Amino acid sequence: MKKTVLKLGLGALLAVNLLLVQAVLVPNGFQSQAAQAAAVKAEEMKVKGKISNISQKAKTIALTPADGSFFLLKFTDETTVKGAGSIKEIKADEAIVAEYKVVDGANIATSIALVMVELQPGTSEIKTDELADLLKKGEVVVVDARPEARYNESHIIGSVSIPFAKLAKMGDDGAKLLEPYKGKQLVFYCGGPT
Amino acid sequence: MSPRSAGLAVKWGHKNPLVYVEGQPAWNKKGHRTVPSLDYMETGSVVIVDLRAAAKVEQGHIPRAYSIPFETFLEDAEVLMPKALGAPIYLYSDNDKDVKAARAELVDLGYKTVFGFYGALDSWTAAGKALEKGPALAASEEQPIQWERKLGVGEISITDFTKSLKSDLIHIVDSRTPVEFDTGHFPGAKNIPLEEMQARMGEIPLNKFIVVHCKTGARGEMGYKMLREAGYTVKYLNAECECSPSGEFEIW
Repeated sequence: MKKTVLKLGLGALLAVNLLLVQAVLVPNGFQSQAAQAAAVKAEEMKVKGKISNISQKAKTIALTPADGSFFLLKFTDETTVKGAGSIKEIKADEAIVAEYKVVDGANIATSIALVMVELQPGTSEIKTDELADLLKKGEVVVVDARPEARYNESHIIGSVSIPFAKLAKMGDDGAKLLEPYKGKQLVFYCGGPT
Repeated sequence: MSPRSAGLAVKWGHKNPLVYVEGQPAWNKKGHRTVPSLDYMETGSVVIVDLRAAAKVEQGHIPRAYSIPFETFLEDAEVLMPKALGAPIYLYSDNDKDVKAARAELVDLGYKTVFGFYGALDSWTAAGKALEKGPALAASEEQPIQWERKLGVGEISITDFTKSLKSDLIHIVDSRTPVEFDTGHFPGAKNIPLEEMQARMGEIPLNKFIVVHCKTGARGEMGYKMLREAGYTVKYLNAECECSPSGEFEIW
């Protein structure tokens, strides 16, 4: 049973909404006819968000932009793809930036680009083998940054669950969650480079 | 998520936090193990299968586990496992090779979330949890393992959906393509492909209880969100279904 559609639990979706901090200034898919007409005349627009659903069959992507709203994006054979070989490789849970036009009330993507991970100053990357070594020596605290439900399902042995969404929500109080590990080598991980 | 968490750690005075960018998929790919939370195994909506021989199972097994000895697993799995391919399944044994082979078999059968629960018995007792003695739960061809997913936001249960099919309570919107629709659909369903739903919303009555469905639930969910935003009273069927031209159907 091969499926072309990948899905993600709604709970997980709600949690990742918080991640896309950058503001997205786009109209949503349910604007008035007048606004849509105006939009057609406007320059090509951009939307950034996390894919909640993608249907290759209906050539449609349901996006969750940073504000937690719902944005429906359609793609065509002409839609260009950056960061992936083809649109078939783009899966739910990945973050994308799309340029699109509004045609007959539908948001038609002209380009779709996967958002790549950017390391922040003062942090650095660790590869699988190095992490395995550090874990063997027992010198690290591995922090699972995914939502707690994902941690419960399956996590690196010995890791602790501190979801990013929770940290971000707490503001500077979030420091308390990491406080017990002061002075230890922290390693953060999640569900892959999205 | 992890790079941002690491950024916060720097802000809060932690020195050079590392980011394992490749994350869990790469970890598993290199053969490193991951484990579930034991509390989740104890109370979560999961299917646990003990692959050891019956005699060993009787001496002590994880509570709520089904017993399907590896000896017969490869042959029997297809009829014993739950119908829902999305059921989270955890396999354990005292022999890792069996777990690996059993897991591969289930993935082959189309199950999407199958985990090897390695070291299950040791971690269970190490955490101070009690093993259960006596026979574990049994499944048979007549009574395969039952698993029903907890409903998410906006979902209608298969039971409720099937019941209301016989009444005028719901107005079904079939969001598949016309070609899919023509091969068979639910009685009384209206076909509005997801890609046309925005433009053809006027055809959907506002004063009815709407249920959107498709083949798997994915397009149904998108349609549900679209209609909800537009002010409809709406749910969607998050399940796989197949309808025959004669109006018979199967949902799982």
